[in-house]
Amino acid sequence: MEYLINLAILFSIYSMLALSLNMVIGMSGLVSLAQAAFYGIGAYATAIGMTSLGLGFFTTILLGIVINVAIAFVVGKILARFQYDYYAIVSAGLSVIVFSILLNWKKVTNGALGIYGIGKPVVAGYAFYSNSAFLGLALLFTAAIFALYVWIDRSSFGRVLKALREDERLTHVMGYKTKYYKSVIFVLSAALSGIAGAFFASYIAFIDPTTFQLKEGIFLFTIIIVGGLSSAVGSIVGALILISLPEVLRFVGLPYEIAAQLQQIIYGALLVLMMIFKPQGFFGKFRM
Amino acid sequence: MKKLLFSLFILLALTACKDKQTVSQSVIKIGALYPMSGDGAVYGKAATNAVNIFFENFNKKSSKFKYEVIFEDNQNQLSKQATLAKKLIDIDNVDVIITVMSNFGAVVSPMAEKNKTLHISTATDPSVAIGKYNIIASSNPIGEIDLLYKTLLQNNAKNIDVVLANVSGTEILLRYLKQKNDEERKLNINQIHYTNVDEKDFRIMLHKIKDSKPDYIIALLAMPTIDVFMRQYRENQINIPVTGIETFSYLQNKELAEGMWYVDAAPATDDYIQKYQAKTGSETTDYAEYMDFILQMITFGYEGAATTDREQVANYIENNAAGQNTAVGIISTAPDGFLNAQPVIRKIINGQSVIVKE
Repeated sequence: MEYLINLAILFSIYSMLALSLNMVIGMSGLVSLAQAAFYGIGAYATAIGMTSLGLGFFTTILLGIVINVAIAFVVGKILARFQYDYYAIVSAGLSVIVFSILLNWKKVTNGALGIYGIGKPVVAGYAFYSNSAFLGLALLFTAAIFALYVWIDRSSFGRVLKALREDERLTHVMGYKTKYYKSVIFVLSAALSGIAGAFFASYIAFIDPTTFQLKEGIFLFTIIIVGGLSSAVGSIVGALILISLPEVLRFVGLPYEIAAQLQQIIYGALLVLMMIFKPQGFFGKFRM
Repeated sequence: MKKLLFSLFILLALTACKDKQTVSQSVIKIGALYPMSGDGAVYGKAATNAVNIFFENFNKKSSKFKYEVIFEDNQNQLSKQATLAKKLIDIDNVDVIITVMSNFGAVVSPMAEKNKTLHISTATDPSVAIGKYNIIASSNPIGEIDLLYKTLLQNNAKNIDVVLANVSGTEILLRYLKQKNDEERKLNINQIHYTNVDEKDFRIMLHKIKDSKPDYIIALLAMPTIDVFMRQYRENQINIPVTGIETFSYLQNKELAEGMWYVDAAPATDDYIQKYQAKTGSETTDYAEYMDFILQMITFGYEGAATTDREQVANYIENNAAGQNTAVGIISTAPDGFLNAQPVIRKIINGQSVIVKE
């Protein structure tokens, strides 16, 4: 049962990330590969805050959000000048920069050695040491982010984002400040990714920069493509499939000498099949 | 879609609820977390070969327990490592978990302690060995640094430059080197040059090193970076000798380091080299040798302690393992859960890496 709970925690963390990324890519059509960077900053804010500064988990979440908002505000201003592939390339650049900082700013991040002994959340004297309690908390935050996604999706702000996605120039001509909308959603998405990072750091208790590389951003991108762009449910389903499918394949009973390679082949083949039969993902409302 | 999700849940739930009591108590289950796919698959392959070779021989002896090894592919990802460690503990109900590298060991270490599962890692970072159930089985990084330091002094080195890949293993070696130098104060570390794992251009760095005129360059680089580094070193006609820890073991073209010495991890015994070659048709690697070392320690611990109590087994290993002969020679123990194999000095002679000092 502990194993399932752990998988559920991971699913919950990736759901938060997928929801936040879908706000940028699905809702607004901005292909951002910077999510791993904000995820990492959130994780490191919690790790450093809890181990070096003696802060509580929730304070470090706020710290991560503040740092992410500040960075995303500046970067978002730059990114707002770009569209399509250029947006993706510049945002990928941010991911690479943040990874390099995490790896090389040794006095703060401890570099490649990573940070040990990251604690669990404590609320009014109650510590979330057990995985089931931690899962409950993670699911609560996931539900809150889900609700926020749905609220934005249905709001006038969300409608402008969707218009921007369909035709940025036309939306601009209609009198909307598209750069403002692009910046705001990017900042919001970064803040939410920081929350996921905080949960990841506390869950795994040890982090190093390798988790927060560009390839993690591409994995998150895959989650929302499989689940469906511009869909809150799709983000959840995508996370569920991509987190649980490899685990299910572990129980197929393949000989251990070749099991890992075969699992990867089967996993890849299943993803290809999904994309052939469901090119918009399972709940996609928009196709790139 | 609903059917698919439902099936996923059912499959996971069924596997999670497998009856743990069906396994006989006399079976010691060992979980091994290795990269088995992608770039790191070569390490997992070496480890699986080592398991096959070890138990082929071990099963011929009479033993108190049976042993079973379950491999899981961590895909070189920390998040996978955590989930898989939970799977091994919760579903497979393993008695022992084996991990490689400090950062991956660090993820499992607190879980092993919490779940009272024996954890043996090839990590170099002492934090991984914290607790009653965590043990490090390695080539003694402190011993390697001591030997490097001593040999540098014997070769009249006074000033050194260090070139290292920005990864945890080399960072720890650098930390030990600085600690050693703080104690002895006989070397001057001129410059420390960090490189990325996939660095391809060392020319500017090499010229900076040339200008600082060190007596030795300590290169803590791995494959394939070391080949690129040494090729550019030769092309730029730098004549400052290069040395390091395990450095030239990773060098594919050994002639690039002709005449140079280095500290190497404890080498495999001749007997093990032959056994591995005969069984697999290929040369043995560190990952195979250290897997054999760890398996020997596990079986030594369980057979010697004659109990399934993991704390007693861990204590038995830590207190009695010194002097045991393993695939990497006779080992020693150190405080805080270290089992160490003894490093050696090797030299590249005629394109071959030859042991010159045990």
